[in-house]
Amino acid sequence: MNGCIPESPVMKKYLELIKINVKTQLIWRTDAFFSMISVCAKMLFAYLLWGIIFEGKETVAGFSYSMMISYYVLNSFFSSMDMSGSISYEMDDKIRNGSFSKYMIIPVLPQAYFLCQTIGKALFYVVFTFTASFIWIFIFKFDFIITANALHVVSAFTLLLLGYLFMQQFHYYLGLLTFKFKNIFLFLMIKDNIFSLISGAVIPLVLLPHEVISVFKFLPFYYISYLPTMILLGRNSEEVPQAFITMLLWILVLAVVNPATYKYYRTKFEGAGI
Amino acid sequence: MPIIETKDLTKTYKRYKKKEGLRGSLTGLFKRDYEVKKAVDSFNLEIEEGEFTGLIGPNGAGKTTLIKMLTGIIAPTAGRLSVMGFYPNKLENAFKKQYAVVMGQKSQLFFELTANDTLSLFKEIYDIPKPEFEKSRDYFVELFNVKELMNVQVRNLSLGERMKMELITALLHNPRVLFLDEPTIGLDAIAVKQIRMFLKEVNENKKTTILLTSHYMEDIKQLCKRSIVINKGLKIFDGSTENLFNTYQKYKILHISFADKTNLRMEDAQLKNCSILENDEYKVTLQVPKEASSKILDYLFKSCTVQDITVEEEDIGTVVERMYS
Repeated sequence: MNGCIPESPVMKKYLELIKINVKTQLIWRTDAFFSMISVCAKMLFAYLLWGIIFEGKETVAGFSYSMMISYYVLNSFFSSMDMSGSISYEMDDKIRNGSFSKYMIIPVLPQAYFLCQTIGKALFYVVFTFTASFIWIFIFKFDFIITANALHVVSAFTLLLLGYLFMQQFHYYLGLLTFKFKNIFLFLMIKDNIFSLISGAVIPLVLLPHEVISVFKFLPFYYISYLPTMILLGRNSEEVPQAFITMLLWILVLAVVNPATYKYYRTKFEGAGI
Repeated sequence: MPIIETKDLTKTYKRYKKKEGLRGSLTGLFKRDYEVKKAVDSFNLEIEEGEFTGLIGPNGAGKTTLIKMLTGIIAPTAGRLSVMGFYPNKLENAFKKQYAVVMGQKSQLFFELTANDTLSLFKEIYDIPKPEFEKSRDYFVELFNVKELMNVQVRNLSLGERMKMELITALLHNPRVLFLDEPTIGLDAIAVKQIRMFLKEVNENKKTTILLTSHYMEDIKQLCKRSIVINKGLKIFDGSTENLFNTYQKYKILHISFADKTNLRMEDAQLKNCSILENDEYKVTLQVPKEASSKILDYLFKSCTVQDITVEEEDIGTVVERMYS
């Protein structure tokens, strides 16, 4: 028992995994410092770029200047909280050099192991990136726009969590492809480029043609950080039901596909020379 | 009933036959030829609970592939396989909780943290009750005499110290079977000796079944009552270690350094069964019959000004070659 919440052995196992990953992160002080710098740099870039674009204009594509900067602050923060990208690279490396076996021989599901690793990292970085975002808003003293509707705030954060879960599943799936293809760097490069565009990390998606956005809405990436950001800005709230259905469907699909893929590929894997 | 049992266990894999040169690489983009290689071939094995067995063979013999199949890391291509009644490649948690594997080159430790941090994690992973965990940890820590190292960052430990921590981590949940793949590779003589002592104690006191692969004859000789020799995927010997070495390890290697220029007269009666492996005026390496080695040493000390002498066992490769021929 821990307080009033009973902890099952399984829960304790995964909590300890999260804990050990937080402890690991706490060793790397320089990493924390540079992650703060990178968030600030991204925001500074947006501040300068949109300052030029908004010169002499009240709005661009329905966005006021304050709203645009708020978009960047929130989107940068939410995007930087997704720590799952390293899963694919780590799996690629470990399957190729044979050290992935360390996850296979202990009584832990490899996907759950990586999920705990991601949560551990995110918990550590959330403190630093949140501080960086807060300092930035304070220094530049601009009007930070956020919805007052509690339901929209809850919906946005729930969607964010679903988004992170999906990204973890998705990166795990890409990592599993190493069992088959031995090298997945090309897949990862394509994924990174597509994701940057669809997630709205490069530009707000409202600036793209309507037809393109309609296609994006069938894909989960649209809902990862872009839609939660827009909902928090008080926009696109009518898309919440569709967002939940789409995300839950994608999560369900990968919840079935990932274990099946892992089982299929690992039993076919020859593991020669490792 | 044997704790480990295999029947006609076989593992084959496809190997890309790349043609040499740029042209070969370009051709490989469109058409590739593969050859099928048998890493383990119709391997039959029965190991009883509590046995300490050595698995010997040269590089590429199939030892690690066999260990990987026994631990479920890879699936066999054909044949039957049972470890503690489980089919390993199903990777059931009930199975994984009963064995441990330590591979010399792969680590379960978190390098940024201390060994104690890893042990706390493994306590939860294996669901070990606190009193049992503390008892087990204290037992191994004392056995290895590493109390003062438990709170040192793993990255700051020596290779030998790290291997001790790997073994403690692996044995924390008191596994019934322990697979060891080259645990002493790259370690100094003192660490090797301590690890051997530790493994012997674990096998005797905890009745842990141990399957050990090693390139070092001394590891096998000192620890394993039974040895299995594998070459090119085939089992070529399975019997007592004593018998193996008495039968097939026929020579010792002597490295002798002289204080003065010396030319050994190989036609002397005492040296007639010896062969010279390396020779210069101050140093010679001889291959001598095992049973005659003490007489030869005696003769060398009396007839030459010996400065230094090292006696070596024949390496595994040579012994296996002899067995095979």
